[in-house]
Order: sequence, then structure tokens, then C-alpha cells
Amino acid sequence: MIASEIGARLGYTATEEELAVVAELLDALSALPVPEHESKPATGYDPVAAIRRAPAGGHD
Amino acid sequence: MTDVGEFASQGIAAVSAAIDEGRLLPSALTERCLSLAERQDGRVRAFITRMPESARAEAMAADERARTGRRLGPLDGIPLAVKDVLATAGVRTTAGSRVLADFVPEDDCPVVRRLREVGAVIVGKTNMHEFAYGVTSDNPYYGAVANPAYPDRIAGGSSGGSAAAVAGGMALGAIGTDTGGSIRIPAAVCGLWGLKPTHGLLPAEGVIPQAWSLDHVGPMARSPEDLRLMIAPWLQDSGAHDSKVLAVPADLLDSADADTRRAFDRFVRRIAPVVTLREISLPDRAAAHAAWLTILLAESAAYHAATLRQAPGTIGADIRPFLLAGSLIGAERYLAAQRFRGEWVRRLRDALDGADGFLHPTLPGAPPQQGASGMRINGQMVPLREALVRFQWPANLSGWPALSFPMEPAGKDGPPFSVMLTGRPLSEHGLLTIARRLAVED
Repeated sequence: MIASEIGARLGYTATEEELAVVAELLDALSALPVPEHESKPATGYDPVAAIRRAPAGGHD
Repeated sequence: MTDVGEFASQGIAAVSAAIDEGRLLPSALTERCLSLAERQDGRVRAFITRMPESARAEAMAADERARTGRRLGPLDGIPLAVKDVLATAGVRTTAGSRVLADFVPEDDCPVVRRLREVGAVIVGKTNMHEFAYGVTSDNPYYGAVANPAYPDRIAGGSSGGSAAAVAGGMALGAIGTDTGGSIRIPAAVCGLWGLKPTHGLLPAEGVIPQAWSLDHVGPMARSPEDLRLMIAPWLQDSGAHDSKVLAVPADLLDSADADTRRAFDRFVRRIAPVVTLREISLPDRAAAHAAWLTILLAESAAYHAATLRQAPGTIGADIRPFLLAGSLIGAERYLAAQRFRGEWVRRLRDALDGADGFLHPTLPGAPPQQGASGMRINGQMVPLREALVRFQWPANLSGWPALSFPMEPAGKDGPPFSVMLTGRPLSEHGLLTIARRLAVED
């Protein structure tokens, strides 16, 4: 899985040793909480307000 | 004139005073550093590129200013070394890599430019772990940096050459970079003082990045007085600091080995009359470490993306897997890490509860022996990189200044244990003042 993703993204064939390190590193990232839904995106972009501002049939 | 070597061992402040008083010429001091580099560097490998010709010219100009009472400040005529990630006009800047072996920048980066503006003499570009991505400075192209102060120990990394240049007397101070301890680790293992300043205080523009939002540029030297002079071009000392309360994150200490905990206990007992210590826990350590690692891997993979696609074999085998892992991190996870980071810094500030900073050992164990691949901590063999970075990353994730300094004199069996003091943003001069009170003279 990891090998094919690396191949697809970079066209690189990783060795078994490299794949083991990559798997360990990715595993270490799993402690990071990734919220499924956020009430307000951190970018400050508010899609509801954008829709209200937009002229009928237009885009923000 | 007094013996040049005698001055140099006293550090930048003493040397600068001697130049002011006409007892020492910058050119004599520079010659001494160049000569020590010439004699030692075949063995120490502190430098990737030495710059004797330009250093001599800069020193002679400093001589003239000193003779005519026109010195540009305390760094005027002081020989300094800079890590080979800082762009230098007309001098190759390799980042310790094969990829950039022939990269010659047209301009100095702002940090080098500023150092030259205040008269510093740049003696060379220091050796380092390839692309700053490691803790040993065992460089496959430019040689492994040796530790001049404690030859049986590693020099540390990634700014190992900067530490070795200072420890070996080849420069009076050096500039390094720090994304996960790369100033503080080599400073600790070479018995020096190392300061990772507040994020952005010394600009990272023109510095080959490891990870933009975690990279810090900062000084290494023999004393807090020297560090104070080295950051003064960017942050003047307001003189207003009277810190009395510091925190100790007890949970971090559990991750250090028994000898280090004992050394830290002795240190705490010794400083107890000087400061009030309060026990705290660092908030959400596992999640915060994952956030730091996510950002590190993703940002470095982004910088190296083209090389990874076009010529992956030109990147060293020990760092390639980190870049491959980073290339698999999507925008969603990267942004989650950056969002978490902001929230974590708020929690860290709350956890301090009025304390001015927090203290803990710089490393979880004694500086490792040359060639070691891991450190034995509490009966467990921990890979070297993981062990040495263990106490470093919080100051990179927060961007707060962190200072490493020897907490007690070196024992007969090896280098000193070092302690790290992390403070609030832009409290550098305050940290140096506290640390001067807490440190003992070797």
C-alpha cells in the first residue's frame, strides 16, 4: 500500500528498509487528533456568509 | 600585546574589550582561528568551506577601524563561523548535501549580511548533517564531524560543525539552525552554550530550510555573555528581567535515564535558594509530538519534492525515508497539525501558570559515544535520533526561545550534563540572565 502510493506520487521504488522506516514514521503521526467536522474553518472562510453576499445566481 | 590564545579562551566579551583598548588586533585573533582550523580540521571536519582569504581581508578592515576608534560594535573583528545552510555571496552553500554541492548564492542571507554589517569576520561554512536532517553530523560527503572537547563522544547535530568550530577554538562563536534541537544538541555534547531564539528573531530568509515553520537560526558560544552579544544585532537587551519562578515538567524527567535525573536533582537542589521551582506537566505531549513530526515531514518533503521525483539517489540513504514519509502526508493532516499547534501553545502558556519558563535536562542521557546508534534509557535501547530529539521539539513547535547550558562541570568520565531553559517569546536576554545565575563555572 505504502510502496504503491510512493510509486504513484514519486515514481520511486522504495526498498524494504525504507518502507519499514516510512511505516514507523506514519504510525507515529497517528496521535495527532484530526477533527472530522469543525464548526468554523481555521481559514476564516465562512461559506454561509459567502452565499448570502453573492448576487442571485452568482458566485463568491 | 598579551598572548592571543589567552584572550580567545576568555570569549567574545573579553576579546572585544581587549580590541577596544588596543591590546589585541582582530587580524591576530583571526590568524589564530585560521591556524587552529588548518591544524585540526583534517581530523575534526568542522568546516565544509573555509574562507581564509576573505576572513583576512575582513580582519584587516576591522584592524583599521579599531586603530582609528571607529569600531562597529562588540562583534567588530570577532571571528565567527556559520552553518553551511546560510547563503553567502560567492561562497558555495551546500547544506551538507551532494544536491547543492555547487550552489553558489549571489547574495548573503540577512543574518550573514547583518553580521558583516557589525564587523564580524566570517571564517568559514560549517559541516552539518545532510540537509540538517539528523543528530550526528556524520556527513557522507564532507566527513563525520568530530567533537574536539570530548573526542570519544559524537559532535551532535545537525549543527555539529558549528559546535566543533567553537569547541576547537576555530571561531569564537558560530551560527547554527534548529528545527528539532540542532543547536542545543551539539552545544550540549560539546560543552557549550546554545540558544534557539524565538521563531523568526534571526530571519531564516536565505537559509536552506529543513521545515520552514519550525526552523530557527541562532548562536552557539562559550558563555551567556557571548550569546548575548551575538543576538544583540537583532534584539537589544532591555535590562528589565528579574525572573524568580520557573517550572519543571516532571513528566519529561521520567523519560530521562537515572544518571541524568540524579544530575538534574543535584542541579535543582543547588539552585533552590536562587529561584522558586514549580512542578508542571507539559500538555498533550503525544499529540503535540505528532503535530511537530507531521509538520517537519510534510514541509521538508515539499522542499525536496522535485529532487525526490527527479534524482532520489542524490539524497542520502538515512534521510530519504523521512522525505518519502512526508510526501504521503495530505493537506488535511498538515493543516490539522498547524491548527493543533496554535491550540497547544495556548495550553502550554496556561500550564506555566505564571512561571517565566521551564527547566529540564537538555538530553535524556549522557552524550553518546562516537558510533552509537542508540541510547539506553531506563533499560530500553532508543534510536539515537528519537532519544536526542525527545526534549527538543516542544520549543520548535511553540517557537519559544530555549537555551542549553552545562548544569555542572564535566566529570572525569565525560562531558557535562546540560540543562535547557525555555522561556516566553522574546525573553532571550532574560533567559541568559537567569542562566548566568544558575550556571556554575567549570
